[in-house]
Amino acid sequence: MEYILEMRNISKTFPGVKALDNVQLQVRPGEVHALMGENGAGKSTLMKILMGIYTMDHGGSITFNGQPYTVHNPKEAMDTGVAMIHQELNPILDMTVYENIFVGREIRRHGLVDKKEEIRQARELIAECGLHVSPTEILRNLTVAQCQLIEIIKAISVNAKVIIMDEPTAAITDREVELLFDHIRRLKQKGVAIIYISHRMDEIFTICDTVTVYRDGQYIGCGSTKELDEAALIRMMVGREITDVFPKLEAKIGETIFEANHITRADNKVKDVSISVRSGEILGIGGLVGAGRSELVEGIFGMHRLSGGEIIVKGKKVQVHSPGDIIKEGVALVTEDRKVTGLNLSGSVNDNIAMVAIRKTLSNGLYSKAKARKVSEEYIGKLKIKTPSGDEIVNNLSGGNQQKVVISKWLLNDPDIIILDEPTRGIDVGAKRDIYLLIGSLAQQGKAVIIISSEIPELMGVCDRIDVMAEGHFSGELDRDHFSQESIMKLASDIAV
Amino acid sequence: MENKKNIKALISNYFIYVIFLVLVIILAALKPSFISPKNMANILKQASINGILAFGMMFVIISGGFDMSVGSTVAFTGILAALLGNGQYPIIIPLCVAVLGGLAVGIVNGVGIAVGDLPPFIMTLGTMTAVRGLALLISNGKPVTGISEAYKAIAASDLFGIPTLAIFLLIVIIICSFVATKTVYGRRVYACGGNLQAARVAGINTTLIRVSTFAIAGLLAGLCGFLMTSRITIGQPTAAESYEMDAITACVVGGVSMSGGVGNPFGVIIGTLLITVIGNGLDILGVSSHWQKIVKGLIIVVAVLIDVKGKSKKD
Repeated sequence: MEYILEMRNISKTFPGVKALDNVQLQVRPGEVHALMGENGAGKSTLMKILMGIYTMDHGGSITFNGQPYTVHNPKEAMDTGVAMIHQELNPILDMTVYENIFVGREIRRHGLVDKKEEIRQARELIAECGLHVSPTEILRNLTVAQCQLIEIIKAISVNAKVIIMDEPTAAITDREVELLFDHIRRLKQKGVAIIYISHRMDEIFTICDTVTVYRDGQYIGCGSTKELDEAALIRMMVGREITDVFPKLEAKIGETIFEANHITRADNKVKDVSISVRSGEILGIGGLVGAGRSELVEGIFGMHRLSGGEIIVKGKKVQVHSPGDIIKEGVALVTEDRKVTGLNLSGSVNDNIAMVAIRKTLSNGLYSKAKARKVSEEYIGKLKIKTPSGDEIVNNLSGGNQQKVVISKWLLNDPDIIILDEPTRGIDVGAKRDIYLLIGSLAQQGKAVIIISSEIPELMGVCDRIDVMAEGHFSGELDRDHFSQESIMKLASDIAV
Repeated sequence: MENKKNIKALISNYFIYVIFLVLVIILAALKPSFISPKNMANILKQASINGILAFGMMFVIISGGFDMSVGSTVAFTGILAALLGNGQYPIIIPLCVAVLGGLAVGIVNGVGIAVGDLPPFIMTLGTMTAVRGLALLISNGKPVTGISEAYKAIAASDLFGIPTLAIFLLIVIIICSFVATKTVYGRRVYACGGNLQAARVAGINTTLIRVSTFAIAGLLAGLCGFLMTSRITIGQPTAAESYEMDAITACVVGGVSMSGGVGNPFGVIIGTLLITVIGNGLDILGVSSHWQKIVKGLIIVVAVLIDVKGKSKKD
């Protein structure tokens, strides 16, 4: 048996859309198999078929471990030996670590939950993964990265032969990624096959053996990562050349127009950090998850109380008590989590774009739908937002297009300083490039841009200067001439012991 | 620093127990008759119906739901029990019919919510109204009289000085606490309320779990209907008005989170007792029932405030 999992002639038709058209996937035991494609390529649909969440169209066949494979729900899939780590984290925050690990397949003794045994096994699994948390800790008290590792432990502990990892590194930083890769290598040695879905090229080439590419629901090809390079892979994914992953537009750098000095947050998550940015400049803020980067910009933006520091916009000292105070001064913040703090998901594209600069959509002091439609059409065109119309509900758009809606919402307010927190998280290569170009053109217009990102290559690609934070402190600054992955990592891990 | 945090967490975790204790001490000091065995028995009696309802409500709220209909269900099943409790049948018949009647209402709620995807508030608001109508319909809008002496004796009697009603409560407490904390089922109820999507992905039959919590609440409401009729010695179609609110209050005050996934049976016991003691104590002190309502209202808000603040601090 060469393949542990063979999916052949898989199609899936939704009303009006053919999400998958006769695709295939073959996975060998003990390999890490990357599944790549832009959003909408059909990766998630295929995985949902594998997990029994969707039923495939008639005519396809799945063979698992030499046997025909038919499952009707995730539980059956797990029992058969297929587990999945979802892109959207699935922790039950008010439950303990061990409860989360064993949810849905509790260990029983005389028909009751055997807590002791669960805790014992959880402790072993946690130790095996090099994580330092107590099995009885409540998940709410853990960091995002720790929660992610708990999800991975959960998948490992069902003794799966195939583990699907959908964007497992979306919410964790490089150091934790290394930890994750160690686990993956260990799983490989045990003969476990991993289907790895990620938009991060460097990860694909670091950890994966084979890659299968889909585009628009079609199978494009499959090959060894040793025989492919980044350019070839992107070509397969998008069907056209992308000459440059991180396009950098030349911009004229002018005067300092934004300063935040000695910012200290009342909850002590940020301690005495100063940043400044000039017009036409793109400043990056790097660091590990939990370094206080988002906390810094949220503090500056008036979302949390500051216990010290001053904010100077265009030479004028600004008292910030709430986001409204700083928005007035021409500062915009594209927040980290667009679904929670960026969008009204059940509102239309027009509604969302009009959210900040609603004054521009007024007519005689009242909200004018016609005006809102007009301005939103302008941005749909300018930012190439893929949507049937401005009346489409934002929740139905892809991640990349949602992000463009968030950015449009701010651009309509004509800000001079734009802060973007993880602007390309969870969006595909093509949309990422659009966003980099947009950021570049904003700098060309003389706006000052601040970008927070956990992807070091991204920061190095787009920024003129990078400030690095570690544990709530400022730990160093690098100019474009001195950018290197190592030096940024070194500053990011500058943790007091 | 760490220490201070712990103390804060401790206070927010045990706040309600402290309040309860302080209240009992104050009441005992003001009116020694408050801690007389007779009044203690009285408190247990008063707590029993609300307590049983609160335990049903506990499962529903922990699983992420909400049930407005239990008060009406108590009235409806109370009428059923009264109609069958005139001595014609053995006492077990009205008991079973009331419990099954309650169970049926609960299943209808659960199916509407978990299968029909209706918001719990809307679904149970509907059954609350409809079931009250049903109670009025089968009783012709008039109290049902003629309850047999044996049936009346259930609520009036006691066992070794403990009111029979309180023994029912005790049995419900023991079973519900066991189910909630020790069984796989209980764990899954928490999982559904904590994160429905995660529970589903983990292979839990979330539909079944959610339906079952409403079924439990309905079943216990049926039991309360049976006891209620014995207690007030008639079948009263307008009885148990806003009992669902008292049950919700007991849960919330006892630390059951309205957002689901959090809560423990011990808290619900304290919540129930607290509500009852406030009523009883204020009665003894001669405080008007109008004021009692105000106090109750304040307690709900403060309890939830502490719940919310305690959570946001940890984030």
